Amino acid sequence: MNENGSDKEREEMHRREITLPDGRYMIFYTFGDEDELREEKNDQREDV
Amino acid sequence: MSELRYNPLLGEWLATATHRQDRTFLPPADFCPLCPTKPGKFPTEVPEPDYDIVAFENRFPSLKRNPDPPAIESDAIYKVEPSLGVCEVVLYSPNHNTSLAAEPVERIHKLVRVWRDRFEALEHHDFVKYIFIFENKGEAVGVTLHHPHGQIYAYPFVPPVVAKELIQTEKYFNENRRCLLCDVVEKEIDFEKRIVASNDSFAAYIPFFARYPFEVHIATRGHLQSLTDFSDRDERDLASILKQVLVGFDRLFDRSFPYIMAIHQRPSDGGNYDHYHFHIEFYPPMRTAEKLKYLAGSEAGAGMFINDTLPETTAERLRGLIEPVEWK
Repeated sequence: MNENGSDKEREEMHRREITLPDGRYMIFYTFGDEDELREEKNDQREDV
Repeated sequence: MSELRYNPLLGEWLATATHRQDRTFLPPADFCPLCPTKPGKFPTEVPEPDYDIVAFENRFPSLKRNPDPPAIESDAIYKVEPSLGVCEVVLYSPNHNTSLAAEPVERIHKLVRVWRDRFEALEHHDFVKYIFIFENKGEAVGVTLHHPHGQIYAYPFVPPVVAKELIQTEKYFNENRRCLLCDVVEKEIDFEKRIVASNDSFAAYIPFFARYPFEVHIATRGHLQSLTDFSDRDERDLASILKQVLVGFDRLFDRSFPYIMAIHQRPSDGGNYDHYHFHIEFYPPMRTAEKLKYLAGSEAGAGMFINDTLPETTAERLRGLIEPVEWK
């Protein structure tokens, strides 16, 4: 823990863009390791 | 119906957007259109059961990428243009009952990176001349949806407030060969009494010329023009100082503090703006726990603000409520 987080590794930023039915774009931003994020999402789906 | 109309008296454009009369107005929390769509629940504007940060085109935009032609034709006095541009909404969190102030600094850091990404992406449109990132928070400033979110407008012209700042900063630069805001920041840091927070990359202060009692400006200490000039350190330091100021705001009257947050950056029209300087301006309408600052005759009709407080006094009060930020 420090004052400005400079000791933390910069998380990778990911974008996933979809097109809504009326043609507008929507971009989902996620941060961190992509494989871990995918696993997290799968776990959430199983929970549902 | 939506179009840009020119005000020849002031030399400014405004947008008509009649469809915005029908936009969702203060819905109950169970029917928030900006929450994720939960299985078996009503479909919101976000067709996913969860998200981190989302940016999307506004469903009720005042500017569009493919606008309809104006309903009337321009003439010598009344100029009309299609309402060309982009209006985006940025959702800060899937949690309906939070605010930027209540979120950890790590999430604010993510948001700063998203702002930068949207700025870079929108600059690619030839028709975009200025990108304005802002937040309206609280019913006192006219919010219609309480879900924590901000907005981004990509204008086909440089809007008047920034245009005026550009004229002033260029004039100062030509006369002094120095950046006006670099000198303002240096002066505020030396004076100390209007500073509310600072770190290696930013200074937050209630300016000498504040129009609102708790009008805070956050400016880079280095001479930077836009988010695209930021280092990783600058992004983290911006997140830190935003967290400090926002928490301080909430502590002022022990409530979620309403404000307008305006991020002022250089235009995106390809011009040289070396004389300009990145800064964020907060316009909070509250002057006491019970009283709001309204734009009345002198402010709205003549453009001269009357501030019932002294920045040196309000800065001391806000500074006393600000604490260091801890990153996990």
